[in-house]
Amino acid sequence: MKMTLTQRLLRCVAAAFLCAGLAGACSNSSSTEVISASSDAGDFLWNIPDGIPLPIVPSENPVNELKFELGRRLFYDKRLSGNGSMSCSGCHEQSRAFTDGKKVALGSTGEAHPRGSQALVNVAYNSTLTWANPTLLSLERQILVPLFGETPVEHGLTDANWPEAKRQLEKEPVYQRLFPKAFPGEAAFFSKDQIVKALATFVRGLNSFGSPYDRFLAGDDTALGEKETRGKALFFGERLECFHCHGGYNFSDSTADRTMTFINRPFHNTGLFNIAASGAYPAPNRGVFEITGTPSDMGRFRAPTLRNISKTSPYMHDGSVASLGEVVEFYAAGGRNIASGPEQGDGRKNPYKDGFVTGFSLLPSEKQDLIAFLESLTDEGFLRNPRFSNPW
Amino acid sequence: MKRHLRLSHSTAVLGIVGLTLGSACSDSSATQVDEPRPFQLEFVATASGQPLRCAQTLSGLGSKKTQGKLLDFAFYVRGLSFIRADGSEVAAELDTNAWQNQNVALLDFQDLSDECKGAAKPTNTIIKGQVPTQDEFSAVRFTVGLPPALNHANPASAKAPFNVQRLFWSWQSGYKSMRLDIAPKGGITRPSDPSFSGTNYFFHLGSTGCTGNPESGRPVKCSRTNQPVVTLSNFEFQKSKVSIDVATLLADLDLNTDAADTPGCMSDVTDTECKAFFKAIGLEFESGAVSQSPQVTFRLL
Repeated sequence: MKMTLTQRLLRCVAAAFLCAGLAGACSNSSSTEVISASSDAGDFLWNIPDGIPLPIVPSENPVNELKFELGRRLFYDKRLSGNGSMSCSGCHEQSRAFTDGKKVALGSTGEAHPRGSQALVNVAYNSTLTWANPTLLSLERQILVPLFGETPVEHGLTDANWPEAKRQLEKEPVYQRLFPKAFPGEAAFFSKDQIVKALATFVRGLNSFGSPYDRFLAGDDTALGEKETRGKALFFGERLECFHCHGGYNFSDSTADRTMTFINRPFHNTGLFNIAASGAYPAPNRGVFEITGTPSDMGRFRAPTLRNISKTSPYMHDGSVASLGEVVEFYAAGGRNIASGPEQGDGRKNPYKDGFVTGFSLLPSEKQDLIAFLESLTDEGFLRNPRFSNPW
Repeated sequence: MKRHLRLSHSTAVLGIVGLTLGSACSDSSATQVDEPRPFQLEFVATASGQPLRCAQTLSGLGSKKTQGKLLDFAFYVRGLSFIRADGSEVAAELDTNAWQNQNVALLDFQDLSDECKGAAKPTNTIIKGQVPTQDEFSAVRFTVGLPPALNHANPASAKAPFNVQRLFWSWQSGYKSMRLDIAPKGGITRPSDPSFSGTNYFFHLGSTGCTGNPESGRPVKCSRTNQPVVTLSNFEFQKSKVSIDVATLLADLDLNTDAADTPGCMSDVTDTECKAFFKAIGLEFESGAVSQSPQVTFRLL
């Protein structure tokens, strides 16, 4: 029963129509990061003032209030973990600018993460996500890491426990109501994809532009005191060089928005380590090197936003610097010299260190001024906004 | 576009579509139209002949002949082809089912869920498909891993068999091509860190050094693809089975000692334990390219 030529051609025709209907599947170029009006379909409360460009939204997950509300509930829901013990908010507390105050995060099974919980502040603008990963470019992809990651375990969702976790979510009447509203027209609900999209929409809405510094920029000359004003001059001056990495409206050079012609995805080695004078950082905290394996990527991490930085101690990817005062001293020294132990080495001489981390001298009063300016980046309204709080 | 194509309409568009889709339909023009032949290709996983099952206590693992229990073993296969005696290659067309999609198959030997601690779960040891010819073959070839477009697609919305969470490798923006987890008897210590105590010895193979943005259509390129290409000769179509012996992957390693980075290997370029894994499966450790020296993990039965 050889196939006739007609039969074979008919197969091709069928395949062609399938392709026409499923362009994405056939061209494998499903376009995201497309800035389109549809990405903002419906009203969305961005908490972003006029004058600040809006962040980029993936076209396959346009923002709207229904998804935000669903995502907010999921964010605060412990049922979204392998053993029912951990919600996103377990490591991301609003009052701490969505950090947890710990040196490193603890997962649902008690396993310590090698790195500290990051602030969820203006993350919609991050050109890369997490501390150091040039391949994580969307919140939708990043969220998979804490939910399903195994090294280390965070939420601890696995193939084995996911069906039960999903059943627990399905039992919730609020979700029975919200999933169909957030994803109208979809055939089934409670999918991983829908959960991720809702969570991404919630954190995409966690924007903070209401600090005293912002009020100063908006024309309120009384918003910053004398100390803060002097600290601002130091921060943006060439002696301290802070603004090269922590510049722009988001105080991070890893920032992307809709007005940009091209997007930078920078990372920096700040001289925290230099084990055995080799440039090495301790595994598994070697920054971009963990992803690329390229020697010059050793110790390169993303510069986080400094907005609400006074609320997110301890500092650095490993929580190894306790206070803002110590952070300033660290940069003044141009790195960190570890005199003994397995991490012994002079980070100030790290061969991969960023060219702007060269050290500076600072009077004690200037240090206080600089810290006062950093504290003026705290947005009390953001930390208390009921829109971002636990809805349960 | 009508959803249901009626024959009378389809013949009208036949010529146009046939012309515009030259490449997709090219196999119908020049070569002889041959009857497709279905096949099944079975994979048999062992550790030095011991069947690889959750309940089995495995012995003789690694350089210290350690005992161990299986926690997980699975891998993706793509680009399966059969090779004629003259060296010409015929690509297999895999069926689409729960274990196979877009010509990629997942072979899954873990028979209990949850790291072999949970309930019974299905396994898959057989690739099913067809070849478009009645010709004889003398060898079989396949690649371990997913094609780049699938490897970096969104796992949250992926269809089977790309929806298996334990093979997600989200922090590396892809999938684990192969996953072998063993719990060695006596646990794992780390000479450089007396406080370290581990239970699981890993081999997680996957592409690293990836850049690009799958979501904007910019192709993802990985500096180390880490995808072995396996060619097995003396192949008898519909008779030969593929043996995969995980003991070969562990042969040069001490499973009770973590020599570098994670216990075992997660494809990290500085994890020296990866050298032994990569060598056994036919990869250059430095570049992630297919090795000149042959792999020893797969053979024909």
